[in-house]
Amino acid sequence: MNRVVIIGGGWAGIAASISAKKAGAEVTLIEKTDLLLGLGNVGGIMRNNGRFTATEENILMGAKELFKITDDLSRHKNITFPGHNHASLYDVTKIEPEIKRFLVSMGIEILLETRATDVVVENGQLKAIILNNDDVIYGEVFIDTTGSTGPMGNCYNYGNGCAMCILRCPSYGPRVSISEKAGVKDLVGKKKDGSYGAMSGSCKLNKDSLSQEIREILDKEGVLVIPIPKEDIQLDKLNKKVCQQYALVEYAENIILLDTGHCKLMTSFYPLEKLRKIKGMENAKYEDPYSGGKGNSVRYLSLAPRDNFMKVRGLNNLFCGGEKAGLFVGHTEAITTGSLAGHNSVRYLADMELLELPNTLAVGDIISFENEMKETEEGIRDRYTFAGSTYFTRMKEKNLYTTDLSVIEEKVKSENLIGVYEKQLI
Amino acid sequence: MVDLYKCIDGGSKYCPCHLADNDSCISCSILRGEKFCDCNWNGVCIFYEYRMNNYKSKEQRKIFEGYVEKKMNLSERVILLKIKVEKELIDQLNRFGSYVFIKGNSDIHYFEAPMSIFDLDENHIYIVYQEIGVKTKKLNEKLNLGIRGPYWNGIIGINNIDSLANSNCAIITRGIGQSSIGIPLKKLAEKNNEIVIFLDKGKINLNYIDLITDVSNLKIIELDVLSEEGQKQIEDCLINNQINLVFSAGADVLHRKISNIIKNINKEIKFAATNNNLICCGEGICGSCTRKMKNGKRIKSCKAIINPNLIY
Repeated sequence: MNRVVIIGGGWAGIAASISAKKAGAEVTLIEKTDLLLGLGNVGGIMRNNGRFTATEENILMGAKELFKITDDLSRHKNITFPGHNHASLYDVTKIEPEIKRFLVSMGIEILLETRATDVVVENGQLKAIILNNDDVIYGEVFIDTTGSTGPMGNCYNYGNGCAMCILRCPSYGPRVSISEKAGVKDLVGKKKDGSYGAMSGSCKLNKDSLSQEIREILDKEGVLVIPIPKEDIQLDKLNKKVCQQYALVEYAENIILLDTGHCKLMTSFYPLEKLRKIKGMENAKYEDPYSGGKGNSVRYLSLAPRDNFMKVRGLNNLFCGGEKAGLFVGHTEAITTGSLAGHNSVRYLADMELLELPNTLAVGDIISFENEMKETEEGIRDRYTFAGSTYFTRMKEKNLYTTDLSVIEEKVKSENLIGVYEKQLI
Repeated sequence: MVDLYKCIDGGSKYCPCHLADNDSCISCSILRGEKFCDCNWNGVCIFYEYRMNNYKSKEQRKIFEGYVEKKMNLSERVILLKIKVEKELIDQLNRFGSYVFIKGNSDIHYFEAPMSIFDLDENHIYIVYQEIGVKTKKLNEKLNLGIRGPYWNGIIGINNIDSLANSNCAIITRGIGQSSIGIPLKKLAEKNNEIVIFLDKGKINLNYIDLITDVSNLKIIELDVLSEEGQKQIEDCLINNQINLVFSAGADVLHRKISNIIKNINKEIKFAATNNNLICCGEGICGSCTRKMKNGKRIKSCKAIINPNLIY
C-alpha cells in the first residue's frame, strides 16, 4: 500500500494531495471543517509582485492545476493596489466547490469534518493518525498541513480573542499539531516587538452592506482606497499583522478595499463604530471574521522544524507544507511548499533521492531562505512572501523577480525541472 | 507537554470546576498553566468558559435531601432503596453511567458511598446495593439521606454506547453489576437497539433485572459467565448475532474476560464497561480513582473519558 495521508485541507494540503497523486500514490486528505481551503476561503490575492514569478515557475514544473482554477475564477486581473502590481483577485464565493470537484475527479480521497487528534509513532516512524472519534487512519507517509492558526486559547492570549473566523474552532474543534503529537518541538513565530504570534492581516465586509457607489467601483476596478479620518490613524498596528507585504504606511492611513467577491479590507480588524464613520460604509457589516470589528485569528504559533525537502526533522516519514512549514504568507507560498511536500512524500515511498528546489528559482530560494532566517532572532520576527517585504526585496536584488515568461522558462529548463511534478514515480 | 483527556464534565453546568481553579484541568493546557493552547476537545473551549465566568469555576454540585420511601431486601444483604429526591437532580441522572454519593444526612462526608442509579421515575431514584463495609452496613437504617450529585462517569467507554442506535448489543452482567444496567438498558431500547442480556447471578445469587420498570420482552440468558462454556456461548452469540456493542457490568475480572473474547473475534465490536475504580470525591481531587493504563499513564477515572481497551 502506498498511501500518503495529508492532514489539513487548506491550499498547502490540497497542493500536496495533487502532486502526491500525480506521482502515483493513494492519497487521503483529512480536513476538520466542512470546507476545503481553510483561509483560502477568505483570501483571494494571487500573482501580485513576486508571486507572478513563483506562479509561473510552479506551472512550468507541473504544479499548474490550482493556478489555472484561480486564474479562471479571477474577478479581476492585472490590477494595481498600493505596493502591488499585476495582481489577480479570485472569487472567494466560487473557489472552494471548484477545487473540491477537481480533487474528487483526480481520485483523491477527501475526509471532511474529520479531525486528527493524535498519532501513533514507532521507532521514529509515523504509523497512523488517530481521529477525534478514536478511528485510526494508517499510512506509509504523512504530510502535516494543519497550518498554525489558533486555537481559541492562543487567539485569546496572543491576539484579541476568538474572532469567530472561517476556521470555526467552536464548531469543529481546534487544530492539532501533528508534528507536536509526534514528539517534535514546534517553533513559535514572533512579532517585531518580540511577542508571540501575528494576527491575520485582512478581514471581509459584506458587499451588500456597503453603498452602491462603493460596490460599483469595486466591481469595476477591483480596488478602492479611502482615507481614514485623521483621528483614527494608527501606524503601530502595522507591526502586529501577519501580512508584512501589506504593512506599508498607505495601509495605516487609508482603508484599502479589494474585490474578491466579498469586500476585502486590508487590515487585521477595524472597530465597527469607526468603520461606519466612513462615507458609504455607514451600514457596513463583517462577513469574515464575524467579529472582525474586534480582532482576527492569530497565526504562527506552531511551526514544524524542517529541512529544504519539506521533511519534518526528527521523523522519517512526516513532511509539512504551508504555514506549518514556516513563516510563509499567502496562497502561492502554500501551494509552492505543499506541492514540493506532496512530490517528495512519494519520492520517499519510492526510495528515491528527495528533490530540493534550487536557489536560482524563487520557489527554491524562499524555502531555503526562510529556513535559514527563522533560526535567528531577527528572522523569527519576519514573514516570508513573494508578494512583498523582506523576501520580495531579496527577489529583486537577486534578479529572481521577472514577469517575462521566456526568462522563467529558460531558468526552469536549465535546472531540468520542466514538468518535474508530472512524472509518475510509483 | 502534559497528557490531556476528554472530561465527562467538560462543557456541563459544572465546568469549569475546582481543577481549573487549581491549574489542574485534565482537558485544557492553559488551565494547567501552560503557555500555548492545546486540549482534548470535547465540544467546548473550557478556557473560554473560565474566562467568561471571570476566571472562576462554576457553582459545583450540592447535596440534595433524599427520603427513603421504600426499602426491600432482595436477599439478606442485598437491598433496594426507593428514594424520593428533587426533580432537579433526577433529570440530570437520566444518563448512561450516572451515579450519586449517598450517606445518612447527619453522617460526616467520609460515609459517602458511590451508587449507580439502578432506575428512576419522576420523583425517585432507585439503588440496589450490597452490605459490605462501613458505608453500607447501616445505610438501610437511615431514612433521611444526603445525596451528592449528579455524576456521570460510571461507564468507561461512554462514547461507544451513548450514541448507539438501530444496532445489536449484548449486556453481560454478573452479581451486583446488575445495579448498573437499568438506565443503559432503557436508553438502548429507546434507540431501537436489539438487546440480549447474559446474566450470571454471581455470588449474591440473584437475578433482579425484572425490578427495572418500563422494560419488556427482555432476552435474558442465565449462565456462568466466567466459565469456559459460558464464554463460548457468549462468543457464539457475538458472532452469530452480529453484535456491535458489548456492555460489561460486573467486576474487573468480567471486563477482562469479555474484552479478550471481543479481541479474539473481531476488533470492530465496541466495548463499554462499568467503572469499578474506588471513587471517593468524584471531582478529580482526591486521587482515589487513579488507574494506571496499559500505556503506563495514570488517569483519574472519575473525570477522564477513556477507551476501555487501554485498561482491559
